Amino acid sequence: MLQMNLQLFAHKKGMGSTKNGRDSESKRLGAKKGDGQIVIAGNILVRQRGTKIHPGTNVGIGSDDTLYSRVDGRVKYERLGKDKKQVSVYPAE
Amino acid sequence: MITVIIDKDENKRINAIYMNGHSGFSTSGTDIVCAGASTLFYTLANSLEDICMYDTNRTSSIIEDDGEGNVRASIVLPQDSDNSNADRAQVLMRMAHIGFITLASSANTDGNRYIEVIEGK
Repeated sequence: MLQMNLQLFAHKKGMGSTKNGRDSESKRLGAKKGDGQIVIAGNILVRQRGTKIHPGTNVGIGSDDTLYSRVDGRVKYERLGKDKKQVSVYPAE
Repeated sequence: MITVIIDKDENKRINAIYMNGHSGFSTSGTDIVCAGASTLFYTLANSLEDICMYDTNRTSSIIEDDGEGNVRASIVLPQDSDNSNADRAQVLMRMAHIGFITLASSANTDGNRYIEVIEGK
């Protein structure tokens, strides 16, 4: 059994806490991880409205079109057909 | 803001729940939104162990600081050939999913967003 840390997701004392909760960084649209960057499963890769970038290998898409990694690995932005883009995550060798 | 990702397979069964970030509601020791999210996370991990015999060391992962100051926690279901046990696990995952949605609807008020739930398509 895991021992609970009731404040696991709280800012530790001394770390800036946004009292109003508006975490603008995480809501700003666009790529959150760059090509070649190492990510872990659950990392958000792209925030977007509509699928400007499509989910590729090992990438999930949320109901709000957010793309996230399903595995630990390295990010790769790729072409999809003639004029589309996709993002994949390949397990690091 | 805590981001909760509900990852689903092609049959709409929940594979994994990923959690990222700080709630930003308050600092440690007084953050009630974080307390709600933490309770749901640990209760799910321990329930999967108690009810479905899924060892928490195999299903759950907690990274208190990913190098960018973010907390990352995840629960990933193992492959399970015992269908009834896998169905029990789905009930627990679904309950946690509803818990996060309920928490978000209560916590996110007056334009503030302390927790968001992203459901995989």
